[in-house]
Amino acid sequence: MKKNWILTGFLSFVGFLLVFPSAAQDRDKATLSGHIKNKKSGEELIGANIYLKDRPVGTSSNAYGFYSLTLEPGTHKVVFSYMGYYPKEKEIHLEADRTVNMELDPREQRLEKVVVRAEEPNKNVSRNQMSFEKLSVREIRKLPSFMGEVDIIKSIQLMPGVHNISEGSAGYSIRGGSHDQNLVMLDEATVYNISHFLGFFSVFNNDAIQNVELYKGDIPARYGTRLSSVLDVRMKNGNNKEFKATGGIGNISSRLTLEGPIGSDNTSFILSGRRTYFDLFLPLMPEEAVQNSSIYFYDLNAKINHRVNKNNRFFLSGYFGRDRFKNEFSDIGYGNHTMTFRWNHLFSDKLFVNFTLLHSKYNYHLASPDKAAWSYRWDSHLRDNCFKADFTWYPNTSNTIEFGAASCYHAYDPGMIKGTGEESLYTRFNLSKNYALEHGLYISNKQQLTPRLTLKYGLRISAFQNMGKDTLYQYNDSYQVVDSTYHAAGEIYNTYLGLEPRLGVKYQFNEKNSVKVSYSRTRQHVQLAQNTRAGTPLDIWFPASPNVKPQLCDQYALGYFRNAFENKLELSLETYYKKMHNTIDFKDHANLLLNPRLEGELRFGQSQSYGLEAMARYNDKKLNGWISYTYSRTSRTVKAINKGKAYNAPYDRPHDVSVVANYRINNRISVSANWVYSSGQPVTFPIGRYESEGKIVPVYSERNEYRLPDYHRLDLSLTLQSHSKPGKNRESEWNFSIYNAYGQKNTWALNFVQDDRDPYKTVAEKTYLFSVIPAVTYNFKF
Amino acid sequence: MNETTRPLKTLLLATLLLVIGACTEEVDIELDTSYARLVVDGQITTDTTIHYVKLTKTMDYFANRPAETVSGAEVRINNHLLTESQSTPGLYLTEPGFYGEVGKKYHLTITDVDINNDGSSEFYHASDSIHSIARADSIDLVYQEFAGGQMKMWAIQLYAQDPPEENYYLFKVHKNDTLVTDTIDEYVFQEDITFNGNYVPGVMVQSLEKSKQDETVRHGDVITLETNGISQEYYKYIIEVTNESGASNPLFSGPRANVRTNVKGGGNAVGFFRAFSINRISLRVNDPYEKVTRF
Repeated sequence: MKKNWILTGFLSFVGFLLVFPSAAQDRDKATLSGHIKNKKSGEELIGANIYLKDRPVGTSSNAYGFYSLTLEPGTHKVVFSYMGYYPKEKEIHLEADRTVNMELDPREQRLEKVVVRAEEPNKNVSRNQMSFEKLSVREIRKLPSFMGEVDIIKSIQLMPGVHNISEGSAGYSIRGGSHDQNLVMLDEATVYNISHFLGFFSVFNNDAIQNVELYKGDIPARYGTRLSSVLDVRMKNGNNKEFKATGGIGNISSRLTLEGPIGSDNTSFILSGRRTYFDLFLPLMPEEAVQNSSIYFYDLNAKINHRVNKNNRFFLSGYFGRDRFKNEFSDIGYGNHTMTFRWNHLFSDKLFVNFTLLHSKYNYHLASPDKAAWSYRWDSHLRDNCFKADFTWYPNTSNTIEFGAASCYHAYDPGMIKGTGEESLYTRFNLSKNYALEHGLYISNKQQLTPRLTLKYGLRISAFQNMGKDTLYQYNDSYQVVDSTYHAAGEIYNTYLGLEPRLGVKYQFNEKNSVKVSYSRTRQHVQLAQNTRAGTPLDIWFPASPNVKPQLCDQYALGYFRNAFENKLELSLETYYKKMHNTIDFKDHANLLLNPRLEGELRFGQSQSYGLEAMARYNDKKLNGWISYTYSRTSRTVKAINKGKAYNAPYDRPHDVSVVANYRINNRISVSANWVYSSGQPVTFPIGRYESEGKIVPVYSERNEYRLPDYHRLDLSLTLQSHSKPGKNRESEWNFSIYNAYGQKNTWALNFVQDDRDPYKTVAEKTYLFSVIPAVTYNFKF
Repeated sequence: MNETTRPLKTLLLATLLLVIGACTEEVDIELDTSYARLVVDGQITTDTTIHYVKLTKTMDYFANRPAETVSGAEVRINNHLLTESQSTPGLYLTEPGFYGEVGKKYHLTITDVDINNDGSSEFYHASDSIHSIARADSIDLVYQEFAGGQMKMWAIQLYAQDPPEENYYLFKVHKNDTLVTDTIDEYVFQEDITFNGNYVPGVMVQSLEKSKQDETVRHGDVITLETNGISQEYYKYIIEVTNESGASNPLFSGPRANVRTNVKGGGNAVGFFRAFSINRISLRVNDPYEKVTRF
């Protein structure tokens, strides 16, 4: 009966949306639509702004650079603008529906003589979206790098409300959530593990990336499946005007990107690769053991797109990345694959649709040397196949309606072990595979009620279905298996259905001030079985099931946005409260790897999080950067953990400060610095000890009762650009970076251990990873 | 499985830390203190010998001295009264002819102790069962070199038939009747989930390191492999002690948590009373380098 209620609710909501705007629709209006592109490369610009100069009427381009704006006929002064590009103003006569494709010129740093604003000047204030960060790869490139690798993920960690989960980790926690609650998408395909080299680098190669958007809250209805955040990363389409090569050499890796048109400007491609190279020097090492080792990672991004005609365009993109560590003790390999096929279609100048087929895969193996009877190989993988349809409908000036559906097939193989010795100890050991279907159906509208008041409301219905073949265990109150049920292949034996309402209101007092409020409910059905803080490549994703209820999150946020000094200074202040239900934690000493009864290791409860995020961003010709401060708290209450008392969540770090500054000394030289500070991570400390069979065993405090020392670090960088030679299309730059410039020995791990010489003595020992790390990167483009 | 993956994780971590250059240093940390708990360390095995139960109290983490013992308690195993040692206070001993039998459950009871100092005596009890274990057909000693000779050791390889039921193995090694693996972190322990019922075809189950004086193997030495059949509860206890007494790191370690105990009653006791079976098999070394494998 519940299902019917939900369906009826959804249908009436859809009906409301369909009827309401059309009632308001004016017959004698005309639609201005088209694509916005980079003039030099032909790349579509995502989220570019199109607005009338004299009135607060406007829109922004969607993820494919398409825009549509319905206006009364007549002559309009329309401004087209985008972060990092010269804005263009155009007088447009609009009698009937009309297509205007606009190409914007990217700002060249060295030519910058006039004051140009990065975006629609007061986007911070006027954007109908809060808890949102947008990064441009150009901006990121100027930040200090870690070992010569400038990283999107590391840059995101400098934003308010975003913490890294451990020093040097690519994993991040958003507003107190776990790192498996972040949806990370590359061209819409889920990237399950964003780490290279155990997290010290991310899988994203800047050279292949066009656009990065982060939603920390106020998550649009078109996104689902994760509780805390969405990171939407889009790959470049490839230059469709001329052939280009870009690349670079850094301390640990080198990169090369080729892009260009194929045949005509209707088709273009991009191919971008990155590989670490220090293992190439290993054969030169004196020790034989080291010579036979390998340690590397690589990424390959490839994309091709073809425009059939004005109304149809196809994209095919893929990512392939892998890490490998091998020596005579062990062999570990892991990596992601994603494939995306998209078809953009314009039904009319008001209705845009994108159909997507997705494939995503993550796998790893772990093996011991293959000589002995105890030698083994362990393989695990997961894969997704999805279909999506996303519609954008621009019925009139004051409404933008998005609706669509997504369906995914998930297959998780948590692990299979087999012996590799000639005469082996092991039988083939298989953990039961998990299969599931996940569906989403959504509709939302952005509606301008008055010039000052904008609404955004939407609803997502999500469904999750467990599918055989599978053996489902039943557990009693003490988490012991009491029974099991076998489900045949293809049998759907469990369905979860739920609503995810989303709501946002913006009230703009004037050009300089606005207030935004939002509410969103999110649901998550698939999570990571991992109780370590930083995570390892040995990921096991497990689905909701009759034993594991979907996680729910209700987030309320309120923000005040203000611009000053001719929009050079952007201020924002946001506060949020999150209540999460069916939070999953793991019992003490949980055994999560290769455990057929994994669900018996789970404990369920609730968590809550609240915080305040303040950010001041300054953008001028010479100086730009930001200062952000976050105060946040997150706690969990889980039955059977910490005796049922609330405890600090692993990522609870009350104070967090980031300062980022970039100063352009002249046309060729610029310097950057960033400084971060945050409260230490919560930890459990010993409060007593005893001896057991020769070892000293601690008696512990309550969970996460104490904290590690505070963390702080300063990074610096200097970028030198080559002289520009007139007529030569060649550019190069050197980037010199220092990570942890004042050599702070930040605690990575704090251990209490027995002294080697005196077995009765115990000491506290800290491990720190990095002292000062210099790096050099050379980048070129021709 | 924990056991199988641990060395790999350790090596992966070592490689990583080496590459990025991690450092360790001693730091001063002030820790809070807590009330004293009874610590039980006792065992009964299938050997006919004197079995013991040692009672102490927990103390501050940085106490840096031997634990305070608990004397004058009344300690029984299945109603056999143990007597406190004259020379070592807090150590309670059985008669020399005492032995445990496979398949039987053993109960430890402790009375006449007042750990919380409230003037009235507390009662503690614990129990564990003795499980049988596969009898070894034979063992082999193989000298092994890893990492181009940076790590040298003798592997003790076991040949045995794993029985069809769930088994928990604990391996210790003696050299010339001296227990070489004398602390819990030197034990090797393994559940048979991945090889249940299979023949164990010469698998390394213990090792002797060449770098350690007392473990170096010479001509004429007698090497004895001791295999204990332990309960699942004790198996988990060993894993937890090994984890909690060793170093942790953000990559591979879960949150710190108290180690389980099978001692119940009274205030709050810690430690373990274990019952297990013992099998031994020995070999006399002729040439320590007769069999060599280099990885």
